[in-house]
Amino acid sequence: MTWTSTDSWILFNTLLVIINCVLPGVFLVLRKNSLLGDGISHAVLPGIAFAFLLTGTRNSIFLFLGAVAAGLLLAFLIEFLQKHLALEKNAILGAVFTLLFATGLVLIEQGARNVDLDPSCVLFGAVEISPLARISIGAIKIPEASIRLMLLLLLNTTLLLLFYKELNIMSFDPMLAKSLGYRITLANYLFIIDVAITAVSVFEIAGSIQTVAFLTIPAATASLFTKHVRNTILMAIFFGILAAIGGYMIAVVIPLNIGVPDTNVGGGTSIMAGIILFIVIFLTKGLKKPNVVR
Amino acid sequence: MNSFFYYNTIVVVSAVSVFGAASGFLGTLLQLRKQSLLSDAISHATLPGIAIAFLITFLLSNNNKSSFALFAGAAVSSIAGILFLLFLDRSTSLKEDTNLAIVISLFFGAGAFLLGFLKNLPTASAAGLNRFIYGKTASLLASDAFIICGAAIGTITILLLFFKEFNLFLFDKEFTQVQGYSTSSIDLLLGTLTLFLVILGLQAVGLILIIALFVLPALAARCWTDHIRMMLLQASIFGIVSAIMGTVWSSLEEQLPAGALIVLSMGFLFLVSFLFGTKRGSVWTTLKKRKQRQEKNVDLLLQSFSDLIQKTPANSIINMLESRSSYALPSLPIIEIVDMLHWSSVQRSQILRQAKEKNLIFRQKDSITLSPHGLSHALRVLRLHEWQHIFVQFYPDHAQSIHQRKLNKNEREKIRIILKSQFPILFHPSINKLQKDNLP
Repeated sequence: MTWTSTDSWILFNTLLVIINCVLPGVFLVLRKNSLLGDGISHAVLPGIAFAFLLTGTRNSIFLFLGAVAAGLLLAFLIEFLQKHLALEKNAILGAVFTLLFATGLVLIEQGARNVDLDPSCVLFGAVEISPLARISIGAIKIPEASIRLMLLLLLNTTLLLLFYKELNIMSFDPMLAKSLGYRITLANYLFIIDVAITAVSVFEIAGSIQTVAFLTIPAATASLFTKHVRNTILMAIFFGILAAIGGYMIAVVIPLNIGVPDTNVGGGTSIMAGIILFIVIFLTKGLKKPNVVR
Repeated sequence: MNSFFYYNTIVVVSAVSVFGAASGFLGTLLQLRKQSLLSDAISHATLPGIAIAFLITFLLSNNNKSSFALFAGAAVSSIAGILFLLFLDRSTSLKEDTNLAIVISLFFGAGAFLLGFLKNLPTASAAGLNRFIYGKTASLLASDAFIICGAAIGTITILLLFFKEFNLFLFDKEFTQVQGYSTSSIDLLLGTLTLFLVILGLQAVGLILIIALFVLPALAARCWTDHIRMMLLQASIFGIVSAIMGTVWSSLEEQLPAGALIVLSMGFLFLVSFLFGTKRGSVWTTLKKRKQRQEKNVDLLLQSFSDLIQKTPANSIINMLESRSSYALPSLPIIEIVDMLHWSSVQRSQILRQAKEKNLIFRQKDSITLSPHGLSHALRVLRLHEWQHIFVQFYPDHAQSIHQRKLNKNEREKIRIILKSQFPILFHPSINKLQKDNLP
């Protein structure tokens, strides 16, 4: 195969996606809340289905708002049920996100059947088609998706730099944060909004369940190495970039070179992230029992 | 409507409802083991196996309808998923939820990767695969339904046979070990049965939604009871009812996916249980909490009279109690109460109204007086308060657990004597008659 500019854009988008996911992902892992990412990525489906039925357009702004709202609804429902039932959190999470997903499937089959709103697209994603729609800025034509992802990266980085201290304190010692006068509930929901925005922006490209891999695996890998949050973030970004490049290799470059059709880049990236995690576990087990601050 | 009575439909409905019973049963055990999402990990981990089996059967022969190969593939890859989960749990310091998320997303990602090849193969029909991802209850064949039905009945039988062991294991792991049972093999049995049931149910409900059939019935049953036998029974019944509701609903509206409708029916049953369940139903608990809060606020109101009562000579209070008139007690300005208790004005008027309804106070324009009944109550509240005060003085070690720890008889008697010597009026017989609760 020959490397074209489309390939570069696909790889570039994958890199943007994974860095975007890693930034909130580190804090999800630190807060022992990784499954929330799973829940939110499932809740995306009813959100966009409902927004579509309500507005009747495929305008991405409305779908985006619908999906973010569904993510918030999920978080709210989990908290509410947890408060009233006082049962295992994971069970409640599983119940809520499957209910939302089922609602989404029914809404899509019911109302959006004849329109191109395919649940498979939500589940598996397609980074391959992301460079197709382009906007020309000056001399070069930049894919629309890349611009969106860069804006998202700007948002995530800004939030991280602004609230780094607060996020840290809240992740390690919520009680201390409360006694210092932080408004924990508000901050929690803001964090969830950020996770939801991130998940919603990348699911078309990465696929909703692979998004969970991007959110969790690099962050988990990095947390095996270091005690410092800053180092965890940097290493997670590094592992994420490795996974994205490796994923593109095994999903597109190698298959095309041996004469097999190319495949899902998000899936390839998840596999590479998993392989890196596996290697790191074996390396760190040789050193000493990892002493990670959680 | 007529089609509902077709042979195939009846077989499918009964198979799915037996499956619902089995998954409700097993899901309850998983919930008590705090492993509800094990079924989620298993179901997502089946995807790469299904994809590989599909690819192999496709390459070997063009006949891609071989269910057996798909089941075998699903089983192998979900076993790999569980082993990977165990590996992460045992040999890393990562948390349980992170491990679950890793296994779910990694295996699903691998599945998507493999399916990507498939989509590009020239004539591959994705229909057979979509059946596993989203579930197609309506298109189940009678033969598939018999397999599901048999497997579900088998699972329930095994669970009932080993019920004693499971029961012991869920509530006291150490004791089970001491009794000579192998806890890891009980865990293994639970895991194997879950795996078995998830894989068989995939065709009916689909791999993303199947976890709902394990999680929701158990949660709904938990709203009604805390007893394991009742919970198992109710969860099974919820499973059956939702399966029937969902399948019938989907036969009425043809184009809707039955798997999703079964899950939504289950969600409806859960909603009803969550609202009206006798054990944890939110309606009852909210009402109860509100009543408790009201009583506490009224107690606080009465407590604000304690200074007045302590300033009044004991003789005159005894007089008031015996003659059942409290007009000798001076009234307390409302302003002062507000200063003491920091209630908002809405709250204040509400609480004053409640106290008046209970005939505890008389209200003048801007002050209140205790009624004779209210005086006895105020003395009772005062006695509780003073009792706790002395408790903290004498047993500061237990001060934090004032409500949890029961003092023994001697300790109680000691506090009682001290209290009686300080405030003899607090032991006036009229107080003891007020409520049957355990006044110290």
